[in-house]
Amino acid sequence: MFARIQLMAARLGVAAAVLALLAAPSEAQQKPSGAEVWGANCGRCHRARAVDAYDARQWESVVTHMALVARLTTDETQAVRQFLVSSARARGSRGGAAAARAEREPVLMASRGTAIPWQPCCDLDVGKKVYQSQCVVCHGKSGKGDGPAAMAMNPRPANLTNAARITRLPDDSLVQVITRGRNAMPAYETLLSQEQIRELVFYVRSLKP
Amino acid sequence: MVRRFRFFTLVLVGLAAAAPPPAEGQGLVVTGYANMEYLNPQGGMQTFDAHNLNLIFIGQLRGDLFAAGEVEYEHGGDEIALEYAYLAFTRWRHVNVVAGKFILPFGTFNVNHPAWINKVPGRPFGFDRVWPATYNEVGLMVRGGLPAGYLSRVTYDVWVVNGLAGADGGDLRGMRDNNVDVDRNKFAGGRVGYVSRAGFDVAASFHTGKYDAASDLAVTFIGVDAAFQKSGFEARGEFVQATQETTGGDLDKTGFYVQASYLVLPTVEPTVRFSQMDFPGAAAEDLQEISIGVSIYPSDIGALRLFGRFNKERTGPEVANNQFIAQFTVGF
Repeated sequence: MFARIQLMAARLGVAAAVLALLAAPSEAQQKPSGAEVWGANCGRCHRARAVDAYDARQWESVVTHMALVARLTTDETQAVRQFLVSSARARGSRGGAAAARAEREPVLMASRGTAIPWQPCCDLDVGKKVYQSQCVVCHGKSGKGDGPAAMAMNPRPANLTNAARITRLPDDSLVQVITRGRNAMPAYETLLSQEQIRELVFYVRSLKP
Repeated sequence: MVRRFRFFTLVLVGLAAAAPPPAEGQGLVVTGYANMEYLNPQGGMQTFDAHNLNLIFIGQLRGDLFAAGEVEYEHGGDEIALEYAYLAFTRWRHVNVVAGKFILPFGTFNVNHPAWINKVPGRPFGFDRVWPATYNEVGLMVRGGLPAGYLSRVTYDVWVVNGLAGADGGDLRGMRDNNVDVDRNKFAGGRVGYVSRAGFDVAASFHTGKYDAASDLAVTFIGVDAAFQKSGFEARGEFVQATQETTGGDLDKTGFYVQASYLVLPTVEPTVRFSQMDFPGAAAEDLQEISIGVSIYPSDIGALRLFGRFNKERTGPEVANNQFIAQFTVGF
């Protein structure tokens, strides 16, 4: 039996080596964002759970469970854990996951009472980088709400190129939605700095239909 | 034996010393899935079937220990079974140790069999009588993923388990549930795969050991699986071969399936699956199946599936056993 096991192990080892060579080593040094890991992996086996499906403590356990099954790398596990747990924690500070799920107020309402200071900026390239790492997975490269994870979402992510929708929103409303999340949209309060969020709003406003 | 024990003890002590500080302890989550079906078989009895209710308990414990268990109530509670119950140690980079009873990660269907995940009701041919899904085992497993490019990874699983136990040439499915081993022979296996950011993944698996130690008879499974996802389209397939030694010679049993689905709307997903099983010298087991239907998703946790399953006997006389299946399933 051990001879058979050795043969099988040798074959699998060769297969692993070949597969590892398929990847570019330089790219292996880059670390994907938690949003990218979530978008690229969770939908491979099942319809991805909304980020507000669990509270922060529950996400801790769920992420470990799923990372084991999906054999995520250590960095991928940490990134997706930070993404989901931080978002849930930010939402949870306002009344827990149940309260977050029940949140249905119009976007404009979100701006009322906000204390987040708004300052004009910005550099499109900086905003684009943030957008690509955090937003593309749902909103798509062009912003039309057609990212790779969007196909199974109901309702679909917002079309950020919809001028009628976006232009009527003041900047601080967009900041509020990004910071605190809304419906399936995660809260980026602890994932992005205020500067990054401002750059992101600037970039989103540059998206064209 | 003593040398081996010393070696493994030293390795474990070394790894423990090299491990980073433990993570913070976390809470318990109760989750699970349920599946209700209406079956209308050709020439058979129409019936409702409370097919299964599975309760899953997971918890990230202190010291990077993780615990998980799943209890299954099947067919209205007539069958109750422990699907898995294991502890996992997750502190080391790229190396996770799992001990207890777990579902063998051979291929993909064996793990992704729950109805709320499996897009076609029922098992494909070959993943019942060739690979005895759902096949869980008691033993030890090491698994993990290694970075292999941006958002891509090489995955591995290696396990040693009690294994199958049965009589010469017996049905493999009936050899499971060897929870307390009946002999000294263990089964060993593994899976190595590549998950690409481009949306495809491929893997190869094996599982081997002696199922009849008294007669020195072994069975060896080999399998390959692949999947591709892009813009709401998904294609997946899996092949398995079981080479079962018998006193009368080897039996090569094979099975495979291919499946394609497309999200025409976020809530509507037509799916088709073709599967086939071949048993040497057993015409009744040379079967084909085409399942075609649609899944409707009222939410991200539920699915209503309406499917026709059309079976064909490839070498034996045709049997009128096609089936209409309406399935409502929830993963909660």
